[in-house]
Amino acid sequence: MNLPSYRFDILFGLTYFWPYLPASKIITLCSGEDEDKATM
Amino acid sequence: MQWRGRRQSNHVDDQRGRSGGGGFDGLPIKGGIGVVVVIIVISLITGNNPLSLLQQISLDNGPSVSQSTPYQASPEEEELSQFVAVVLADTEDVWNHLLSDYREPTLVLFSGSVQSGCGNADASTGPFYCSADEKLYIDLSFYEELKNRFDAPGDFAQAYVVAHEVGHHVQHLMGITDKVQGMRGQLSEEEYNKLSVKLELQADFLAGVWAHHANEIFSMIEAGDIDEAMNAASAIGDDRLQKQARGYVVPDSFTHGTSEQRKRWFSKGYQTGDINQGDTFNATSL
Ligand SMILES: [Zn+2]
Repeated sequence: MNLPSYRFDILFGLTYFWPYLPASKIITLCSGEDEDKATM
Repeated sequence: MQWRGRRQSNHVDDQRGRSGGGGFDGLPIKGGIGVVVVIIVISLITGNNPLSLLQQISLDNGPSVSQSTPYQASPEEEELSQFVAVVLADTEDVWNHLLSDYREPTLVLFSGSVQSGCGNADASTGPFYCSADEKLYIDLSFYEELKNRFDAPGDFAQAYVVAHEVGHHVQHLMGITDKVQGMRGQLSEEEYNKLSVKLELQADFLAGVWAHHANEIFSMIEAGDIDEAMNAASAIGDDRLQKQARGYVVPDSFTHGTSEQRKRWFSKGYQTGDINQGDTFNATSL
């Protein structure tokens, strides 16, 4: 596989901004069964 | 509740039988933006076109049921879809009456999973509101759960669910939702949960305000209706749900309020009918 170098830049950028991606803004009626859903 | 023969809202978007929405049919991964990012990353590594990758994933899950097969709803579910369209129309009448520049939200009926403006969701999410697209989403199978699993039967329990979600829409129009969600990054999880409880209790309060005014306009509340709504509010309190799920409660993790609180704020809205009485954010006690 030959990867052009710009792909690494984009990959790095995505990893860097990962924590800043918007959290889901879903507002529910009640808390759900799966506790990992922070939006409940 | 008396509802037959009354106006049905035309802001109902029936997406039942169409799972997931555009292009993401049957995708086993949750969370809209996460999925997109993962696919972009994979396509960057492999050098594939992200769109063809998406198609491949859909094909791997077998033929999609969307579009080709018309959704087969039971007669009960058909009646339920008419019922929620009447309740939505009632919320339009009440909130247009109470607020000068009310924008009517859309109610999306879905089955299985749905793509909302706030990301992917499935039936396990339960009914929800998305402020990004100003739509409320309900999988009607939730009502089966409300009756059987939560032990909260009755048409007014079902109306309360719609009114609660419309309450979130009213909060969004008032700028409250955006303010609360904007605090998310600045607060600890515990602190944010406390704000979330206030937001949810206010939605319950607004559901009560709706019931008050809807009854003034349509005299549609029958004996037992308010008890049905109160019972539903109580059935989905955080303490009740946590006790059922794991046998103990963790108050710091509450996001929607206790059974008592949810009942109390719905009741306060119903009794006063006054939106100014619903400032849960500055209330000395919830
Ligand atoms: Zn809610």
